Amino acid sequence: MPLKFKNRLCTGCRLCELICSASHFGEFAPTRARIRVSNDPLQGESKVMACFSCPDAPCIDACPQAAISRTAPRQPLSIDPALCDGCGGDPACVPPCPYGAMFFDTVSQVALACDLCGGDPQCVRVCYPKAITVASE
Amino acid sequence: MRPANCYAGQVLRVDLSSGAVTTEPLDEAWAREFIGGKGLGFRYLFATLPPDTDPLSPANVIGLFPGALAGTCVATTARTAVFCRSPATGTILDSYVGGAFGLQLKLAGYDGVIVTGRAPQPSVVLILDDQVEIRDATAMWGRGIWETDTWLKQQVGDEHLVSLAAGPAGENLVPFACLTSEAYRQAGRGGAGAVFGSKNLKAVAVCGTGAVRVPDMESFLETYYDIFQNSLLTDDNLWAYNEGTPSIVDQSQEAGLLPTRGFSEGVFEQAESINSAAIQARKSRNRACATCPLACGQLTRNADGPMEGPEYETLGLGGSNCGIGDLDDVIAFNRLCDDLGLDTISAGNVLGLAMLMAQEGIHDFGVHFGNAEEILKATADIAHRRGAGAELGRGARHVARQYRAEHLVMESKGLEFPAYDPRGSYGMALAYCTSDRGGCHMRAFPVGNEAFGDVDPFTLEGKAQMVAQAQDFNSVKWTGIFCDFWAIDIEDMARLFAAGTGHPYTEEELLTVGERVWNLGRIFNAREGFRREHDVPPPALFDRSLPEGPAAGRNFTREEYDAALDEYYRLRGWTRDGVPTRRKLESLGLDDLVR
Repeated sequence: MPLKFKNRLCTGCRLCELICSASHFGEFAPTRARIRVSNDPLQGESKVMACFSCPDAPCIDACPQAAISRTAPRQPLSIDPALCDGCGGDPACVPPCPYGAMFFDTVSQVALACDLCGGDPQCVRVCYPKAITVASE
Repeated sequence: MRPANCYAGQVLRVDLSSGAVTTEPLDEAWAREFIGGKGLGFRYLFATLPPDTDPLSPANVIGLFPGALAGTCVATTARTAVFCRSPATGTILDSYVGGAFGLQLKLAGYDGVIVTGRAPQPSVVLILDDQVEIRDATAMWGRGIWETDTWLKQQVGDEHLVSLAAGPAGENLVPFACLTSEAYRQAGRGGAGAVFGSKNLKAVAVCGTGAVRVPDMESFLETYYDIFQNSLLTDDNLWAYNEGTPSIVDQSQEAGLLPTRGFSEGVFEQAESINSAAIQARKSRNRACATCPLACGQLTRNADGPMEGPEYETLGLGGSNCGIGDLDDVIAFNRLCDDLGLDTISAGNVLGLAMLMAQEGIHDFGVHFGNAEEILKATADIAHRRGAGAELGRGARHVARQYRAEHLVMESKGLEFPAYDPRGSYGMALAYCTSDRGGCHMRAFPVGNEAFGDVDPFTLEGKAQMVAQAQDFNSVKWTGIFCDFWAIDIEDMARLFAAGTGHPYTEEELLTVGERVWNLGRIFNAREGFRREHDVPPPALFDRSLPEGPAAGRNFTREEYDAALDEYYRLRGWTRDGVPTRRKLESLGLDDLVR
């Protein structure tokens, strides 16, 4: 089941980003996370976003290498690192995402989308305010 | 090659006079002995700052050092400490700020920043990974914190840029000007904002795109998840999420030590209007520092917009201590101080003193208890050093001396007292007066055991040991920099430091680090002439009694305080004059730092 976000509960701590990069890449690197937090201190607002496998998934069609796929709607995306060439640093899958939830790893030069950590999303585990949960549909 | 531990491995130096920007390898021996945060910052400051430096001269040094574990997932450790010689006290200063500055600094690749000199014109230091630039900031000189933070983000075009900025109060060299990060968290105490101002430095801002590593991520995360579940997300700490510091208002009121009307009373008849329940009724959401699930920031809102706080100290010193019982007025005071870059603790103190002086017929600064309009005007005048603010903006000690009100003032070494009146919890007097940076409740907090706990608050017996132990413990904790609101024990600190640095710290070794750091602060202060006479409380604690409440009529005597101070020095291994002995310094490996 995909992730679900409640921005009004997000406290902007960015622990999800750090845990995401640590569990996928073995280092704390928010720019390599598949989930991102945005803070607006002046408005006192925070938002969290990751791929939740939206119905249209325009990223799939946008990929010139056909590297992005999913087994069924609402199942997490799979990005084949053997096929993804990062479009030479200007990934075609990032701009079409209406949620800003497709990211690009400048280190490995591949696109990044939430893979639900294979079923046990680590960000959910550490989000005490429950701004990130797993949808129970 | 970057080290495979939590350190970035390098320190950034910026000389504002010459414009030179250099990096140097982190001193590994110092990292081992002082870990990070308070320890590493003290060590670098001691090595860099010449003795007898005027705090507002170009020769003063600003150090910015996050906790050793900043950039990892460990809660609260992205906190950053600001170091310099304090213009408020002349002592060493370590002033802490939450938010995400430490996270970004580590991601940019630095364990610390050392700023020296004075820029020829108003400037900001922008740190974008290895691109470090001193940029003209004339357009922001005189501008408030919110505008400055917005401008900085526009300059760089990255919302993750984190600022540490001075407001107009800092530019005008107010000795209690603070620094503000992300326009909502303050390194409040001791006047680091004025040191920025004296250097023509409006802000340091940082954004990093790198990574922080640990020796073995799998075991690091395993250790952390255990601590996260079993020692962080517990009732000992979750009060911070649920209510935050405003919950202390009722505790202080009940103990009769809530500063009221210039510390002339300890019980405030309108406390219910400014307590936690009042804040909760106005709360919009929680806000966290980087990596912290406790998210203690309680966001409120007034007509001008949202704001973090008011926190307990502001409720006490900008509320009851000013005779203000309307939460809207306290929020307005808080917003104004935040935007001007004023420490609310010192500002509320100096205003409370001014109003008490008017009430006692000593001098009328045109500001009177309970009059919010006058208080807000005086606050702005302080930041701009105009009108009554010309005098009030020099701090409570100066005002007391200038107008012969020394019998009323509440400060130690020039730093105004926080919102715990020591007459209701005697250990706080020793805590405030032996603190390395002057009147501060963060080095030792005996009130937690005394008036808020089950230890007799109305005796100084046994308090020397309580205070000394807490100072050493907190000195380790702030190498972390673990937040005050996380009641982490020494065992868990040792586990996390070991997992992060790769050095197998033991509990015993950590306590030695704490004592080493505390003694380093003391030899810095002794070098600047601080002795026993500076560790004595202001006369009001001995001579003036609170009129009502549990602490009514309670004062310790000068003899009782002297005996407690003797005991404190004896426990510390210092002379009767408060100077560390050579034997003590040898045992801590600090003897080569004194002649």
